Amino acid sequence: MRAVAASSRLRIGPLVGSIGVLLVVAAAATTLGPADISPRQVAQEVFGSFPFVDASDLSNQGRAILWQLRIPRVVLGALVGGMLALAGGAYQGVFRNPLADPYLLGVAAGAGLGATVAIGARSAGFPQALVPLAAFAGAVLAVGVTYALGRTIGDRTATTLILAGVAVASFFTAIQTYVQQRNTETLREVYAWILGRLSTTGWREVVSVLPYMVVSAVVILLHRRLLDVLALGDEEAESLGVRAGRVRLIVVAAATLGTAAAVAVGGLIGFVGIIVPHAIRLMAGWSYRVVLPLSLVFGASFMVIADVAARTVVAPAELPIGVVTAFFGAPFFMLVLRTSREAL
Amino acid sequence: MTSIRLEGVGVELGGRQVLSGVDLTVESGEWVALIGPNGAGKTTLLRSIANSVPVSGQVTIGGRPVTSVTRRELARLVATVPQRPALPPTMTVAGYVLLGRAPHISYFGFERSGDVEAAADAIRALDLSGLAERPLGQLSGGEQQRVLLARALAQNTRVLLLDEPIASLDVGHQQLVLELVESLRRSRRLTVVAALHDLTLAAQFCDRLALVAGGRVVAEGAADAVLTESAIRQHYGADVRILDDGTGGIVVIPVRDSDQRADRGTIAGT
Repeated sequence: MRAVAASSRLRIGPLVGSIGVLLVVAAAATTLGPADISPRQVAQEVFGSFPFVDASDLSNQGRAILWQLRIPRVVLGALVGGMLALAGGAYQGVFRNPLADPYLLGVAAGAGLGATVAIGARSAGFPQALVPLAAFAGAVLAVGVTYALGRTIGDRTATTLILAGVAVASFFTAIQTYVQQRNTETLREVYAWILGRLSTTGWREVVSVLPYMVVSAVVILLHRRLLDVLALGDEEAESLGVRAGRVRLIVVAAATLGTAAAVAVGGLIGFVGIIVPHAIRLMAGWSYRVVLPLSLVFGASFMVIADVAARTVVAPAELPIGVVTAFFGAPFFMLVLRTSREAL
Repeated sequence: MTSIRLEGVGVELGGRQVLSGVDLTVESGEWVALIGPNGAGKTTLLRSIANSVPVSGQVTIGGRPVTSVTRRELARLVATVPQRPALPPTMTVAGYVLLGRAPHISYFGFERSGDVEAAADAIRALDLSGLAERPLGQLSGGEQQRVLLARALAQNTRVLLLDEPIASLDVGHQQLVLELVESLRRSRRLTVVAALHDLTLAAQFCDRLALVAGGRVVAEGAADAVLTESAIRQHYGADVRILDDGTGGIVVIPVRDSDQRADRGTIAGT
């Protein structure tokens, strides 16, 4: 029967289409910026080693801008956006809560504390290159504490975990605010970090977060069928032979790892983790088999576009990317909501 | 062999003893109705068979204690239709029924053609082919109940547990759903345990009745042995007449006490 077979499959068509969109968006983004680099030059640079392609006429400086500034930044934007959207979709699945975002269990507060402490410790000789690492550690620590707290309360239900997350986030935020007030000279820097920013020094950031994100994305995507089962609630999932608590633990661990990596290099970019999976759900249906892969790809495109806006709208200055994602994301989301009301 | 045996089963939930000392045997292929007033422990009894609550005493299916098999194995033995199931409103009928195959798929696995066929079979068996792509949120009560049965059927178990499967249906759909259960029981040789409120229908459809009250099975056996006017007055606090339906079956009808009727009439009139 066609309808049954269709609901068991990954939908290849929309996925291939959205990957095509991502490639076009990414290619366009590499041509935009203060230095003048044409699409033809980008194509020649990227495909220059293939036969029948003319070598590019880009200057050495142009080549350096393209390969060491623009392309790494586009790739990093795609990674961060894809990861946040995928993790958001996964969180919404394991918590059966449409308002869940990847920061729900304290990732944001933990990363914020880690970054604030690291930036504040600069005068004490803390190497600033390690700020992302501190943010990553803070994020993982906060979610670990949330999980441990959730377990001591007794059960591992979604509600218990969310409440533990609220408590841990408040606690970490309190410490973060205190540390920040004690180091007012770094206030501006911490604030900028919290608003989210993508900045790259060559390929270093991409290389450092890629392993975490790959592991995280693979684990989450492998759980896409089980997240559909979890949509029935813990007891019904268990009656279908699925250990809901265990699935939740594994998916949350994977999503936390990926989110922490994204936050470490991108700061606290809001909104992507909520609106992208929702927009996909409104357009492509309920199943996580469809929602998760498409969220990954659309999240990547969305962030690349947002980053282009962030670095060009008030050039040569930059807008915080978190401001851009919300500014463009909110109206877009309202539009999707209006046009697909019947899907609700 | 899929007979179900409960021996000295007790369940404590939140400090309250919900079931105690329950002994009950359901033979392979039998349909047993659990009857009893609200809060008597019928749902908990069903959950104890499905190993969804911590139980003292022992529950065995086909001779194996339910606590000694894995969740997945148990889900291949027992399908449960809960009283208040989660029906995600945008999920399609086809997708929902396919979830019934979960116990047959490995952790990281995905449905094979056999799973898709089993789900499609279940959809056909419950006459849902025309609704396969309909979101669950757009179904009527009767359609929902058929979809729940289809998911349980796709699970391909030998034991079917039903918790109030007809509670929110009109009399026509109540009969339809119970007839469906009966035909599935025969064609697939299922062992069925159903919590039911409608005593007449329970008597008509089920092989045996077990009356649950205050966390115990207080009577069990054929319908005419369990359904007595005094037992129903004692455990439900209800006044009923039990009549012969003319074909050897019985009918339970509620009656109003004539004194009370007169009293209420007076109050209404003043």
